[in-house]
Amino acid sequence: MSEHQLAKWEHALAKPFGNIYNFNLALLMLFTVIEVGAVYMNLPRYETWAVLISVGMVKAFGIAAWFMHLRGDPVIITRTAIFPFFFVILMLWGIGLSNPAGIEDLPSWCTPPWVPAYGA
Amino acid sequence: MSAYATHEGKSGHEEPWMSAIAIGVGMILLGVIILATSQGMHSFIHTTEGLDHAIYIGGMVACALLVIFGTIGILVGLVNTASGGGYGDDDHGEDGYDEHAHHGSWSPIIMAFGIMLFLMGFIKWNHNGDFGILGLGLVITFAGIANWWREDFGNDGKSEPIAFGEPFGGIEVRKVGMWIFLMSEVMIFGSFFSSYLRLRTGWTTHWDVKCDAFGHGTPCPDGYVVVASELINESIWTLLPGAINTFALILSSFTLVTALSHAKKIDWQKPTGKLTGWWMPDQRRAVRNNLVATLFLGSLFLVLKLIEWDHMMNGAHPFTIDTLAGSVFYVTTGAHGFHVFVGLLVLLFFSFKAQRGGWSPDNAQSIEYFGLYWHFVDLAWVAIFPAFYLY
Repeated sequence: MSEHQLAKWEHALAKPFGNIYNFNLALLMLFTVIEVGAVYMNLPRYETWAVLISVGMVKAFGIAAWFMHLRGDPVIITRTAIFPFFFVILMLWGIGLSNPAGIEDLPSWCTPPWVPAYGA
Repeated sequence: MSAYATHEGKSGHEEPWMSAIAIGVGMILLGVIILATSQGMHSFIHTTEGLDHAIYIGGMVACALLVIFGTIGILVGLVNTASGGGYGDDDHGEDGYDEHAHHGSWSPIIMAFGIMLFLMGFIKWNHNGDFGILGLGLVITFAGIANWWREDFGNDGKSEPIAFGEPFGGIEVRKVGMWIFLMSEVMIFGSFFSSYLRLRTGWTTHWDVKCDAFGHGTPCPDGYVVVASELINESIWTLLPGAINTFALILSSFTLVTALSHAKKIDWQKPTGKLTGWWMPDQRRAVRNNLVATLFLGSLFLVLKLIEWDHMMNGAHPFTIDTLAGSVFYVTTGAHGFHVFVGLLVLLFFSFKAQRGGWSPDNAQSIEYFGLYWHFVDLAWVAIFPAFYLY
Protein backbone atom coordinates (compact mmCIF):
# COMPACT_ATOMS: atom_id res chain seq x y z
CA MET A 1 0.00 0.00 0.00
CA SER A 2 1.60 3.21 -1.07
CA GLU A 3 0.99 6.53 0.63
CA HIS A 4 -1.05 7.89 -2.30
CA GLN A 5 -3.69 5.20 -1.76
CA LEU A 6 -4.55 6.62 1.65
CA ALA A 7 -7.48 8.92 2.28
CA LYS A 8 -7.05 12.45 3.64
CA TRP A 9 -7.92 11.46 7.18
CA GLU A 10 -5.34 8.69 7.06
CA HIS A 11 -2.68 11.09 5.85
CA ALA A 12 -3.58 13.39 8.74
CA LEU A 13 -3.24 10.53 11.23
CA ALA A 14 0.00 9.26 9.72
CA LYS A 15 1.75 12.65 9.36
CA PRO A 16 3.00 13.07 12.98
CA PHE A 17 4.29 9.48 12.96
CA GLY A 18 6.12 9.53 9.62
CA ASN A 19 3.98 6.89 7.93
CA ILE A 20 0.78 4.91 8.45
CA TYR A 21 2.62 1.82 9.74
CA ASN A 22 4.23 3.78 12.58
CA PHE A 23 0.84 5.28 13.43
CA ASN A 24 -0.76 1.82 13.41
CA LEU A 25 1.94 0.43 15.71
CA ALA A 26 1.34 3.25 18.21
CA LEU A 27 -2.44 2.74 17.95
CA LEU A 28 -2.18 -1.02 18.58
CA MET A 29 0.20 -0.57 21.52
CA LEU A 30 -2.01 2.08 23.12
CA PHE A 31 -5.18 0.04 22.76
CA THR A 32 -3.52 -3.06 24.18
CA VAL A 33 -2.57 -1.06 27.29
CA ILE A 34 -6.21 0.10 27.56
CA GLU A 35 -7.35 -3.53 27.18
CA VAL A 36 -5.17 -4.83 30.01
CA GLY A 37 -5.95 -1.76 32.14
CA ALA A 38 -9.71 -2.27 31.79
CA VAL A 39 -9.45 -5.74 33.30
CA TYR A 40 -7.18 -4.58 36.12
CA MET A 41 -9.53 -1.70 36.99
CA ASN A 42 -12.13 -4.31 37.95
CA LEU A 43 -14.94 -2.59 36.09
CA PRO A 44 -18.40 -4.20 36.19
CA ARG A 45 -18.76 -7.19 33.87
CA TYR A 46 -20.68 -5.54 31.01
CA GLU A 47 -18.48 -2.44 31.03
CA THR A 48 -15.43 -4.71 30.77
CA TRP A 49 -17.01 -6.58 27.87
CA ALA A 50 -17.83 -3.29 26.14
CA VAL A 51 -14.21 -2.10 26.50
CA LEU A 52 -12.70 -5.43 25.39
CA ILE A 53 -14.97 -5.74 22.34
CA SER A 54 -14.52 -2.09 21.32
CA VAL A 55 -10.75 -2.25 21.72
CA GLY A 56 -10.65 -5.57 19.84
CA MET A 57 -12.58 -4.04 16.93
CA VAL A 58 -10.25 -1.04 16.70
CA LYS A 59 -7.17 -3.31 16.80
CA ALA A 60 -8.66 -5.67 14.22
CA PHE A 61 -9.39 -2.70 11.94
CA GLY A 62 -5.83 -1.39 12.32
CA ILE A 63 -4.28 -4.73 11.44
CA ALA A 64 -6.64 -5.58 8.58
CA ALA A 65 -6.80 -2.11 7.03
CA TRP A 66 -3.17 -1.03 7.16
CA PHE A 67 -0.94 -3.99 7.92
CA MET A 68 -2.91 -6.33 5.63
CA HIS A 69 -3.37 -3.51 3.11
CA LEU A 70 -7.13 -3.91 2.71
CA ARG A 71 -7.40 -0.12 2.45
CA GLY A 72 -5.29 -0.13 -0.71
CA ASP A 73 -6.58 -3.37 -2.26
CA PRO A 74 -9.60 -3.81 -4.55
CA VAL A 75 -12.93 -3.97 -2.70
CA ILE A 76 -13.46 -7.61 -3.71
CA ILE A 77 -10.57 -8.59 -1.40
CA THR A 78 -12.31 -6.88 1.55
CA ARG A 79 -15.55 -8.66 0.65
CA THR A 80 -13.66 -11.95 0.51
CA ALA A 81 -12.16 -11.27 3.92
CA ILE A 82 -15.53 -10.42 5.45
CA PHE A 83 -17.43 -13.33 3.87
CA PRO A 84 -16.47 -16.08 6.40
CA PHE A 85 -17.50 -13.86 9.31
CA PHE A 86 -21.11 -14.41 8.26
CA PHE A 87 -20.64 -18.11 9.08
CA VAL A 88 -18.65 -17.32 12.21
CA ILE A 89 -21.52 -15.17 13.49
CA LEU A 90 -23.91 -18.04 12.70
CA MET A 91 -21.67 -20.40 14.68
CA LEU A 92 -21.35 -18.03 17.60
CA TRP A 93 -25.12 -17.58 17.67
CA GLY A 94 -26.21 -21.11 16.84
CA ILE A 95 -23.57 -22.99 18.83
CA GLY A 96 -21.95 -20.50 21.18
CA LEU A 97 -25.15 -19.07 22.59
CA SER A 98 -27.21 -22.27 22.46
CA ASN A 99 -26.24 -23.43 25.94
CA PRO A 100 -29.42 -23.42 28.05
CA ALA A 101 -27.56 -21.99 31.01
CA GLY A 102 -25.94 -19.41 28.79
CA ILE A 103 -29.05 -17.93 27.22
CA GLU A 104 -31.07 -17.29 30.36
CA ASP A 105 -29.88 -13.73 30.71
CA LEU A 106 -29.91 -12.85 27.03
CA PRO A 107 -32.68 -10.87 25.33
CA SER A 108 -35.02 -12.95 23.19
CA TRP A 109 -33.86 -11.36 19.92
CA CYS A 110 -30.45 -12.97 20.20
CA THR A 111 -31.58 -16.32 21.54
CA PRO A 112 -31.84 -19.24 19.12
CA PRO A 113 -35.47 -20.46 19.05
CA TRP A 114 -34.70 -24.01 20.10
CA VAL A 115 -33.80 -25.76 23.30
CA PRO A 116 -30.83 -28.03 22.78
CA ALA A 117 -30.41 -31.21 24.78
CA TYR A 118 -27.06 -30.10 26.14
CA GLY A 119 -26.65 -31.19 29.73
CA ALA A 120 -29.89 -33.15 29.72
CA MET B 1 20.15 4.01 -7.27
CA SER B 2 18.71 1.00 -5.51
CA ALA B 3 21.07 -0.81 -3.18
CA TYR B 4 19.94 -3.98 -4.92
CA ALA B 5 21.45 -2.81 -8.17
CA THR B 6 24.89 -2.92 -6.61
CA HIS B 7 24.21 -6.00 -4.58
CA GLU B 8 22.85 -8.06 -7.45
CA GLY B 9 26.10 -7.66 -9.27
CA LYS B 10 28.16 -9.42 -6.67
CA SER B 11 25.76 -11.69 -4.84
CA GLY B 12 24.04 -14.87 -5.93
CA HIS B 13 26.79 -16.97 -7.43
CA GLU B 14 29.68 -15.24 -5.69
CA GLU B 15 28.37 -15.46 -2.14
CA PRO B 16 29.08 -19.02 -1.05
CA TRP B 17 26.34 -21.14 0.40
CA MET B 18 28.79 -21.82 3.17
CA SER B 19 27.38 -18.68 4.83
CA ALA B 20 24.05 -20.49 5.35
CA ILE B 21 25.94 -23.43 6.87
CA ALA B 22 27.97 -21.09 9.09
CA ILE B 23 24.84 -19.28 10.27
CA GLY B 24 23.19 -22.65 10.96
CA VAL B 25 26.16 -23.83 13.03
CA GLY B 26 26.18 -20.47 14.83
CA MET B 27 22.49 -20.83 15.68
CA ILE B 28 23.02 -24.29 17.14
CA LEU B 29 25.99 -23.06 19.19
CA LEU B 30 23.94 -20.10 20.42
CA GLY B 31 21.16 -22.52 21.40
CA VAL B 32 23.61 -24.64 23.38
CA ILE B 33 25.03 -21.53 25.11
CA ILE B 34 21.51 -20.32 26.02
CA LEU B 35 20.65 -23.78 27.34
CA ALA B 36 23.82 -23.99 29.44
CA THR B 37 23.31 -20.44 30.78
CA SER B 38 19.67 -21.05 31.68
CA GLN B 39 20.50 -24.32 33.43
CA GLY B 40 23.30 -22.56 35.32
CA MET B 41 20.99 -19.70 36.34
CA HIS B 42 18.36 -22.21 37.38
CA SER B 43 20.82 -23.66 39.89
CA PHE B 44 21.66 -20.27 41.44
CA ILE B 45 18.40 -18.32 41.35
CA HIS B 46 15.58 -19.28 43.70
CA THR B 47 12.45 -17.13 43.72
CA THR B 48 8.96 -17.63 45.06
CA GLU B 49 7.44 -16.47 41.76
CA GLY B 50 8.97 -19.42 39.93
CA LEU B 51 11.30 -17.22 37.88
CA ASP B 52 14.05 -19.84 38.17
CA HIS B 53 11.82 -22.48 36.62
CA ALA B 54 10.70 -20.05 33.91
CA ILE B 55 14.36 -19.44 32.97
CA TYR B 56 14.94 -23.21 32.91
CA ILE B 57 11.98 -23.88 30.58
CA GLY B 58 12.65 -20.77 28.48
CA GLY B 59 16.25 -21.84 27.93
CA MET B 60 15.17 -25.30 26.80
CA VAL B 61 12.56 -23.96 24.35
CA ALA B 62 14.91 -21.29 22.96
CA CYS B 63 17.60 -23.95 22.50
CA ALA B 64 15.15 -26.30 20.75
CA LEU B 65 14.04 -23.54 18.35
CA LEU B 66 17.62 -22.50 17.57
CA VAL B 67 18.64 -26.11 16.95
CA ILE B 68 15.68 -26.53 14.54
CA PHE B 69 16.50 -23.26 12.77
CA GLY B 70 20.23 -24.05 12.67
CA THR B 71 19.66 -27.56 11.31
CA ILE B 72 17.45 -26.17 8.55
CA GLY B 73 20.13 -23.55 7.77
CA ILE B 74 22.80 -26.23 7.45
CA LEU B 75 20.52 -28.39 5.27
CA VAL B 76 19.70 -25.41 3.03
CA GLY B 77 23.40 -24.68 2.66
CA LEU B 78 24.30 -28.30 1.90
CA VAL B 79 21.43 -28.88 -0.55
CA ASN B 80 22.09 -25.65 -2.43
CA THR B 81 25.82 -26.25 -2.51
CA ALA B 82 25.23 -29.72 -3.93
CA SER B 83 22.68 -28.53 -6.51
CA GLY B 84 24.46 -25.29 -7.39
CA GLY B 85 21.37 -23.41 -6.24
CA GLY B 86 21.08 -19.70 -5.81
CA TYR B 87 18.93 -17.00 -7.16
CA GLY B 88 19.46 -16.44 -10.80
CA ASP B 89 19.67 -20.20 -11.32
CA ASP B 90 16.02 -20.58 -12.08
CA ASP B 91 16.53 -21.02 -15.80
CA HIS B 92 14.17 -23.42 -17.47
CA GLY B 93 14.66 -22.48 -21.07
CA GLU B 94 15.29 -26.10 -22.07
CA ASP B 95 11.78 -27.24 -21.20
CA GLY B 96 10.02 -24.37 -22.84
CA TYR B 97 9.48 -22.08 -19.86
CA ASP B 98 10.38 -18.46 -19.84
CA GLU B 99 13.84 -17.91 -18.40
CA HIS B 100 12.48 -16.07 -15.36
CA ALA B 101 9.22 -17.93 -14.94
CA HIS B 102 8.58 -19.64 -11.65
CA HIS B 103 6.58 -22.59 -12.83
CA GLY B 104 4.41 -24.95 -10.83
CA SER B 105 6.01 -27.12 -8.22
CA TRP B 106 5.44 -30.65 -6.93
CA SER B 107 6.72 -29.64 -3.51
CA PRO B 108 3.36 -28.64 -1.95
CA ILE B 109 1.89 -31.99 -3.07
CA ILE B 110 4.86 -33.90 -1.61
CA MET B 111 4.47 -31.92 1.61
CA ALA B 112 0.70 -32.50 1.76
CA PHE B 113 1.25 -36.24 1.26
CA GLY B 114 3.82 -36.22 4.07
CA ILE B 115 1.42 -34.39 6.39
CA MET B 116 -1.33 -36.92 5.59
CA LEU B 117 1.01 -39.79 6.55
CA PHE B 118 2.12 -37.88 9.64
CA LEU B 119 -1.46 -37.44 10.85
CA MET B 120 -2.32 -41.09 10.13
CA GLY B 121 0.86 -42.13 11.93
CA PHE B 122 0.09 -39.83 14.83
CA ILE B 123 -3.09 -41.78 15.58
CA LYS B 124 -1.20 -45.07 15.36
CA TRP B 125 1.64 -43.77 17.53
CA ASN B 126 -0.83 -42.48 20.10
CA HIS B 127 -2.67 -45.82 20.04
CA ASN B 128 0.17 -48.34 20.25
CA GLY B 129 3.44 -46.40 20.15
CA ASP B 130 4.24 -47.40 16.55
CA PHE B 131 6.44 -44.59 15.17
CA GLY B 132 6.93 -45.95 11.60
CA ILE B 133 4.26 -44.10 9.57
CA LEU B 134 4.63 -40.96 11.68
CA GLY B 135 8.39 -40.91 11.05
CA LEU B 136 7.95 -41.54 7.33
CA GLY B 137 5.42 -38.71 7.17
CA LEU B 138 7.86 -36.35 8.89
CA VAL B 139 10.68 -37.26 6.48
CA ILE B 140 8.46 -36.74 3.40
CA THR B 141 7.09 -33.47 4.81
CA PHE B 142 10.58 -32.09 5.44
CA ALA B 143 11.75 -33.30 2.02
CA GLY B 144 8.85 -31.37 0.45
CA ILE B 145 9.68 -28.25 2.46
CA ALA B 146 13.41 -28.50 1.64
CA ASN B 147 12.69 -28.91 -2.08
CA TRP B 148 10.23 -26.00 -2.05
CA TRP B 149 12.85 -23.81 -0.38
CA ARG B 150 15.49 -24.89 -2.91
CA GLU B 151 13.19 -24.06 -5.83
CA ASP B 152 12.03 -20.75 -4.46
CA PHE B 153 15.46 -19.39 -3.58
CA GLY B 154 15.87 -18.70 -7.27
CA ASN B 155 12.50 -17.05 -7.82
CA ASP B 156 13.04 -13.51 -9.05
CA GLY B 157 9.29 -12.82 -9.20
CA LYS B 158 9.26 -11.52 -12.76
CA SER B 159 6.19 -13.49 -13.78
CA GLU B 160 3.47 -12.99 -11.22
CA PRO B 161 0.32 -14.78 -12.47
CA ILE B 162 -2.71 -12.48 -12.65
CA ALA B 163 -6.32 -13.71 -12.44
CA PHE B 164 -8.38 -13.05 -15.56
CA GLY B 165 -11.81 -14.36 -14.55
CA GLU B 166 -14.42 -12.57 -12.47
CA PRO B 167 -14.68 -11.52 -9.69
CA PHE B 168 -10.92 -11.42 -9.12
CA GLY B 169 -9.86 -10.29 -12.59
CA GLY B 170 -6.66 -8.23 -12.57
CA ILE B 171 -5.62 -9.32 -9.07
CA GLU B 172 -2.55 -11.48 -8.40
CA VAL B 173 -3.54 -15.15 -8.20
CA ARG B 174 -1.33 -15.80 -5.17
CA LYS B 175 -2.93 -12.96 -3.25
CA VAL B 176 -6.42 -14.31 -3.98
CA GLY B 177 -5.24 -17.80 -3.00
CA MET B 178 -3.87 -16.51 0.29
CA TRP B 179 -7.14 -14.74 1.11
CA ILE B 180 -9.17 -17.86 0.32
CA PHE B 181 -6.82 -19.80 2.63
CA LEU B 182 -7.29 -17.18 5.34
CA MET B 183 -11.07 -17.56 4.97
CA SER B 184 -10.71 -21.21 5.96
CA GLU B 185 -8.51 -20.15 8.87
CA VAL B 186 -11.24 -17.77 10.07
CA MET B 187 -13.62 -20.75 10.12
CA ILE B 188 -11.18 -22.84 12.18
CA PHE B 189 -10.73 -20.18 14.85
CA GLY B 190 -14.45 -19.35 14.64
CA SER B 191 -15.28 -22.95 15.58
CA PHE B 192 -12.91 -22.74 18.58
CA PHE B 193 -14.58 -19.55 19.75
CA SER B 194 -18.12 -20.85 19.34
CA SER B 195 -17.17 -23.98 21.34
CA TYR B 196 -15.59 -21.81 24.03
CA LEU B 197 -18.61 -19.49 24.15
CA ARG B 198 -21.00 -22.40 24.47
CA LEU B 199 -19.01 -23.93 27.33
CA ARG B 200 -18.23 -20.66 29.04
CA THR B 201 -21.82 -19.41 29.12
CA GLY B 202 -22.79 -22.58 30.98
CA TRP B 203 -20.10 -22.35 33.63
CA THR B 204 -20.06 -20.62 37.00
CA THR B 205 -16.68 -18.88 37.07
CA HIS B 206 -14.77 -16.18 38.94
CA TRP B 207 -16.84 -13.65 37.03
CA ASP B 208 -20.02 -14.87 38.72
CA VAL B 209 -18.89 -15.79 42.23
CA LYS B 210 -16.24 -14.26 44.46
CA CYS B 211 -14.69 -17.27 46.17
CA ASP B 212 -11.38 -19.06 46.55
CA ALA B 213 -11.16 -22.17 44.40
CA PHE B 214 -7.89 -23.19 46.00
CA GLY B 215 -9.09 -23.76 49.56
CA HIS B 216 -7.72 -20.68 51.33
CA GLY B 217 -10.83 -18.52 51.68
CA THR B 218 -14.55 -18.70 51.01
CA PRO B 219 -15.21 -22.08 49.41
CA CYS B 220 -16.64 -22.11 45.91
CA PRO B 221 -20.09 -23.56 45.15
CA ASP B 222 -20.56 -26.95 43.48
CA GLY B 223 -20.09 -26.80 39.72
CA TYR B 224 -17.63 -23.90 39.96
CA VAL B 225 -15.18 -24.02 37.05
CA VAL B 226 -11.62 -22.66 37.19
CA VAL B 227 -10.86 -21.07 33.81
CA ALA B 228 -7.46 -20.16 32.40
CA SER B 229 -7.89 -16.41 32.94
CA GLU B 230 -8.41 -16.94 36.69
CA LEU B 231 -4.98 -18.57 36.94
CA ILE B 232 -3.33 -16.16 34.50
CA ASN B 233 -4.62 -13.10 36.38
CA GLU B 234 -3.37 -14.43 39.73
CA SER B 235 -0.47 -11.97 39.71
CA ILE B 236 1.45 -9.68 37.41
CA TRP B 237 4.05 -12.47 36.96
CA THR B 238 1.52 -14.90 35.56
CA LEU B 239 -0.03 -12.31 33.24
CA LEU B 240 3.33 -11.00 32.04
CA PRO B 241 4.11 -13.71 29.41
CA GLY B 242 0.73 -13.22 27.71
CA ALA B 243 1.00 -9.43 27.87
CA ILE B 244 4.56 -9.39 26.49
CA ASN B 245 3.45 -11.81 23.77
CA THR B 246 0.68 -9.44 22.72
CA PHE B 247 3.18 -6.61 22.29
CA ALA B 248 5.69 -8.97 20.61
CA LEU B 249 3.15 -10.02 17.97
CA ILE B 250 2.10 -6.45 17.27
CA LEU B 251 5.75 -5.41 16.96
CA SER B 252 6.48 -8.41 14.71
CA SER B 253 3.65 -7.38 12.38
CA PHE B 254 5.23 -3.94 12.24
CA THR B 255 8.76 -5.22 11.49
CA LEU B 256 7.38 -7.48 8.75
CA VAL B 257 5.45 -4.72 7.06
CA THR B 258 8.58 -2.52 7.37
CA ALA B 259 10.66 -5.23 5.66
CA LEU B 260 8.08 -5.31 2.87
CA SER B 261 8.03 -1.55 2.39
CA HIS B 262 11.86 -1.47 2.17
CA ALA B 263 11.97 -4.43 -0.22
CA LYS B 264 9.45 -2.73 -2.52
CA LYS B 265 11.25 0.59 -2.80
CA ILE B 266 12.85 1.15 -6.20
CA ASP B 267 14.56 4.41 -5.18
CA TRP B 268 15.64 3.23 -1.72
CA GLN B 269 17.52 5.71 0.42
CA LYS B 270 19.25 5.21 3.73
CA PRO B 271 17.17 6.53 6.65
CA THR B 272 18.54 9.76 8.07
CA GLY B 273 18.01 8.90 11.75
CA LYS B 274 21.04 7.67 13.70
CA LEU B 275 19.35 4.52 15.02
CA THR B 276 17.38 3.76 11.85
CA GLY B 277 20.47 4.43 9.77
CA TRP B 278 22.41 1.93 11.85
CA TRP B 279 19.57 -0.61 11.69
CA MET B 280 19.08 -0.22 7.93
CA PRO B 281 22.45 0.76 6.36
CA ASP B 282 21.53 -0.56 2.90
CA GLN B 283 18.44 -2.02 1.27
CA ARG B 284 19.52 -5.64 1.64
CA ARG B 285 20.19 -5.26 5.35
CA ALA B 286 17.05 -3.17 5.85
CA VAL B 287 14.99 -6.10 4.58
CA ARG B 288 17.08 -8.77 6.29
CA ASN B 289 17.25 -7.06 9.70
CA ASN B 290 13.51 -6.48 9.82
CA LEU B 291 12.82 -10.08 8.79
CA VAL B 292 15.24 -11.38 11.44
CA ALA B 293 13.58 -9.10 14.02
CA THR B 294 10.22 -10.65 13.07
CA LEU B 295 11.75 -14.11 13.42
CA PHE B 296 13.12 -13.20 16.85
CA LEU B 297 9.80 -11.76 18.08
CA GLY B 298 7.88 -14.82 16.84
CA SER B 299 10.38 -17.09 18.60
CA LEU B 300 10.03 -15.02 21.77
CA PHE B 301 6.28 -15.55 21.53
CA LEU B 302 6.71 -19.34 21.50
CA VAL B 303 9.27 -19.33 24.33
CA LEU B 304 6.97 -17.27 26.57
CA LYS B 305 3.96 -19.33 25.54
CA LEU B 306 5.63 -22.56 26.66
CA ILE B 307 6.89 -20.97 29.91
CA GLU B 308 3.28 -20.00 30.60
CA TRP B 309 1.92 -23.44 29.69
CA ASP B 310 4.49 -25.10 31.92
CA HIS B 311 3.52 -22.87 34.83
CA MET B 312 -0.17 -23.59 34.29
CA MET B 313 0.27 -27.35 33.95
CA ASN B 314 2.86 -27.88 36.69
CA GLY B 315 2.29 -24.91 39.01
CA ALA B 316 0.71 -24.88 42.46
CA HIS B 317 -2.78 -25.24 40.90
CA PRO B 318 -2.38 -27.54 37.88
CA PHE B 319 -4.59 -26.60 34.93
CA THR B 320 -4.44 -29.65 32.70
CA ILE B 321 -5.83 -30.56 29.29
CA ASP B 322 -8.02 -33.35 30.69
CA THR B 323 -10.69 -30.86 31.80
CA LEU B 324 -13.13 -29.07 29.47
CA ALA B 325 -11.74 -25.67 30.49
CA GLY B 326 -8.17 -26.89 29.96
CA SER B 327 -8.99 -28.60 26.69
CA VAL B 328 -10.59 -25.57 25.03
CA PHE B 329 -7.76 -23.31 26.28
CA TYR B 330 -4.84 -25.52 25.19
CA VAL B 331 -6.41 -26.50 21.85
CA THR B 332 -7.15 -22.88 20.89
CA THR B 333 -3.87 -21.36 22.09
CA GLY B 334 -1.97 -24.44 20.84
CA ALA B 335 -3.49 -24.11 17.35
CA HIS B 336 -2.49 -20.47 17.38
CA GLY B 337 1.03 -21.33 18.59
CA PHE B 338 1.32 -23.91 15.80
CA HIS B 339 0.45 -21.20 13.27
CA VAL B 340 3.22 -19.05 14.74
CA PHE B 341 5.68 -21.95 14.42
CA VAL B 342 4.78 -22.54 10.76
CA GLY B 343 5.20 -18.80 10.19
CA LEU B 344 8.66 -18.97 11.78
CA LEU B 345 9.76 -21.64 9.29
CA VAL B 346 8.72 -19.37 6.42
CA LEU B 347 10.42 -16.39 8.09
CA LEU B 348 13.59 -18.42 8.44
CA PHE B 349 13.56 -19.08 4.69
CA PHE B 350 12.85 -15.39 4.01
CA SER B 351 15.74 -14.37 6.28
CA PHE B 352 18.22 -16.70 4.54
CA LYS B 353 17.02 -15.40 1.19
CA ALA B 354 17.42 -11.82 2.45
CA GLN B 355 20.93 -12.61 3.67
CA ARG B 356 21.83 -13.48 0.07
CA GLY B 357 20.14 -10.34 -1.26
CA GLY B 358 17.36 -12.39 -2.79
CA TRP B 359 14.58 -9.82 -2.33
CA SER B 360 13.97 -7.01 -4.78
CA PRO B 361 11.03 -4.80 -5.78
CA ASP B 362 10.22 -7.49 -8.39
CA ASN B 363 9.61 -10.32 -5.95
CA ALA B 364 8.78 -8.47 -2.72
CA GLN B 365 5.13 -9.42 -3.16
CA SER B 366 6.02 -12.83 -1.67
CA ILE B 367 6.75 -11.02 1.59
CA GLU B 368 3.39 -9.28 1.26
CA TYR B 369 1.47 -12.55 0.79
CA PHE B 370 3.23 -14.21 3.70
CA GLY B 371 2.58 -11.01 5.65
CA LEU B 372 -1.16 -11.59 5.20
CA TYR B 373 -0.76 -14.90 7.01
CA TRP B 374 1.41 -13.43 9.76
CA HIS B 375 -0.95 -10.48 10.33
CA PHE B 376 -3.85 -12.93 10.45
CA VAL B 377 -2.05 -14.78 13.26
CA ASP B 378 -1.76 -11.41 15.01
CA LEU B 379 -5.46 -10.78 14.33
CA ALA B 380 -6.43 -14.13 15.84
CA TRP B 381 -4.42 -13.20 18.95
CA VAL B 382 -6.42 -9.95 19.19
CA ALA B 383 -9.45 -12.16 19.85
CA ILE B 384 -7.72 -14.91 21.87
CA PHE B 385 -5.95 -12.61 24.33
CA PRO B 386 -9.03 -10.91 25.84
CA ALA B 387 -11.23 -14.01 25.56
CA PHE B 388 -8.87 -16.49 27.19
CA TYR B 389 -6.37 -14.37 29.13
CA LEU B 390 -8.27 -11.36 30.39
CA TYR B 391 -11.94 -12.34 30.62
